[in-house]
Amino acid sequence: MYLPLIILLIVLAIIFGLIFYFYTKNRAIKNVHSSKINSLEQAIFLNGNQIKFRNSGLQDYSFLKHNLTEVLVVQPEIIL
Amino acid sequence: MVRFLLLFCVLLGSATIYSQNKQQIDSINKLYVQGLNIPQDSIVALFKKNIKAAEKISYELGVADGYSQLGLVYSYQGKYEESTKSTIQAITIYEKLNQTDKIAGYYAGLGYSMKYRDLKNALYYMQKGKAVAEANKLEELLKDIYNNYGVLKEINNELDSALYYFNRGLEIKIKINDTIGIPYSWSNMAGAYGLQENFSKSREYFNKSLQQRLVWADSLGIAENYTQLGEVFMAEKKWNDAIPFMHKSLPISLKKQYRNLTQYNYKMLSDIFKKLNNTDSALYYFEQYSAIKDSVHSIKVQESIAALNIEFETEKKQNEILEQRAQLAEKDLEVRRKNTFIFGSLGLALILGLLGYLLYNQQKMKNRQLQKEAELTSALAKIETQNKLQEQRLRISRDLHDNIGAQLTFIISSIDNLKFGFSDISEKLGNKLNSISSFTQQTIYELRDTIWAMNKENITFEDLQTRIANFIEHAKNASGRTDFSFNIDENVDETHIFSSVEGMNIYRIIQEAVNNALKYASADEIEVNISEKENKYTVEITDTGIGFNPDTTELGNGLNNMKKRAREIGGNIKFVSKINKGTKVILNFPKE
Repeated sequence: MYLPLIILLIVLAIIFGLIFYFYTKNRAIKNVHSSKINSLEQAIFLNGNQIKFRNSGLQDYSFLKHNLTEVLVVQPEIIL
Repeated sequence: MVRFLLLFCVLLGSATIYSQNKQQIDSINKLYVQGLNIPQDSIVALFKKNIKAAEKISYELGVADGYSQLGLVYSYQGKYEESTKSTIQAITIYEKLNQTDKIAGYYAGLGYSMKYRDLKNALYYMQKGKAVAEANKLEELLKDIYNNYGVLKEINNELDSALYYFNRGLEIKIKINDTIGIPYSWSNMAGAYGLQENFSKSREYFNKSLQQRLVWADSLGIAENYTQLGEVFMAEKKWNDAIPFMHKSLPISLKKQYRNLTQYNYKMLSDIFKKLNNTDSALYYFEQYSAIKDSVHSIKVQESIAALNIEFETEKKQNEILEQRAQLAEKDLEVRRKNTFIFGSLGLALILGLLGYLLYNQQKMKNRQLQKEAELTSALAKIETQNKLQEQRLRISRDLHDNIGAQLTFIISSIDNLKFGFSDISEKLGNKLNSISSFTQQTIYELRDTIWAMNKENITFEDLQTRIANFIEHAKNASGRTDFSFNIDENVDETHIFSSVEGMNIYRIIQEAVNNALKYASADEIEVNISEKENKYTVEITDTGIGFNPDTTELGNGLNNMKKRAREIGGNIKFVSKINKGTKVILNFPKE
């Protein structure tokens, strides 16, 4: 009667021990992972921001402003 | 409500079980010990178990009754010390429970039971029982306690005291009309008187007892009294007077098979006739005495043999039972072992299963994390490369703009200075200088376009369309006499995205064609159409100007540039023109 009870208690203790160990281990792994992910996302965000900033500058460039007025002027001097 | 009912059921169940246990304990405690045909050791075990059961449910009266019964069994076994100990334990509990009648009864009983072994203690316990009975006026007990106390006194040779207590017992018996007990008291008193050699009194009380017993037809008592009366005469050495009483007692004892009394009667008769020198009769009765003694002895032997036989059989059966129990215990042990093994295996399997699951889960999580990390690392590498590439392009662009752009601007500025600094330059030289200046200006714009195209990733069709429309709008403003139209077919995919090089080249080709139509063809109408067919774009710039002969006219820089730009975007360009029929520039390029 007592032996099965002792076995049951030992099994339960091991199960709880395993669950606790894996819980703490997984939590540590998750923490490391999330810090890695955070740093990577931060780096991607920084690079993305730089690219966006440059693109917005390039978008503002106007063909017409710099070219057309002069282009449309008749230039008889230039011999084709 | 449900809880209340449940509690009630539990309480009721507990009370029922408790009550059943008590009944069982009481029924065992009420067993008639002398009548049990089982070995004494088993009876001891039975009562010990019963005591434990009573203790388990805190049933103190049951415990006390158990000890008292155990004391009785021990006394039958001759284990007087254990008997006294058990009885004292019972009395202690009875005292705690204030069961005065039992306290008095068991003290007195204890005292009476040890009268031949330890008279001193017998008197002590008897006195204790008597004191309790007297204090609580337990007359039912007192009548017997007084009588038994008298017996102890008689054994202790305190005959007056014995008579006193016999008398006190008798008084109570008379008071409560104990018709069976009264003759015993008279007989006891008669015996005491006889020991005092007061034979007349002794005879008187034996006769009183006899008369009472005759009334109640108490055969054994009558026989005893006859014998006792005979003994009185014998004590007086009145041998002949004693004989009739012995003869009266003898048939009754024989009839009732009261063997001890019969044996005693034969012995007395033998003694009497011996005293009377009647040797024949003496011998006859002695022979009778011997015969019955042997018979009694034989019966005792037979009884002993039977008892031993029963004991042997019982022991044998007990051994068998023990063997069976041992086998059962072994089987039970084996079953337990198996169960333990099964439980252990199940537990181990459970642990291993859980361990596997946890490891699998952990690995799965790690893989997921690694995959995500790899994706992010790859995305980071890509965006970093893109960023670096863009940075590099920007640096090159800045260098181009700042160095070459500045130098070209310096050339323009120098030419302007030449023109205004030297007022006497010829018209031809002036025109040439203007031409160089304009060409340089155009180079600056081209450079800027190239820089822009280098840095810009792509340009949407919509954006290109807007730019072309704006250009045509400017052209309209610049040349009031020309009609412009700009059309895009319905089937053109307006969501298409061109690379910046494509967009810039298409724009420049349209710009150049329109510019040519304005500058050289003096066109009244200029039409720009964009269409899409079989995954190819077609841009047509048509004017109604003076036209030219493509076979004879040498292509200038403008048209060659247009061809070069068309090749850059993987397309081709055709110039369809006739003198005074206008010109059509057709640009085809694939939709990539």
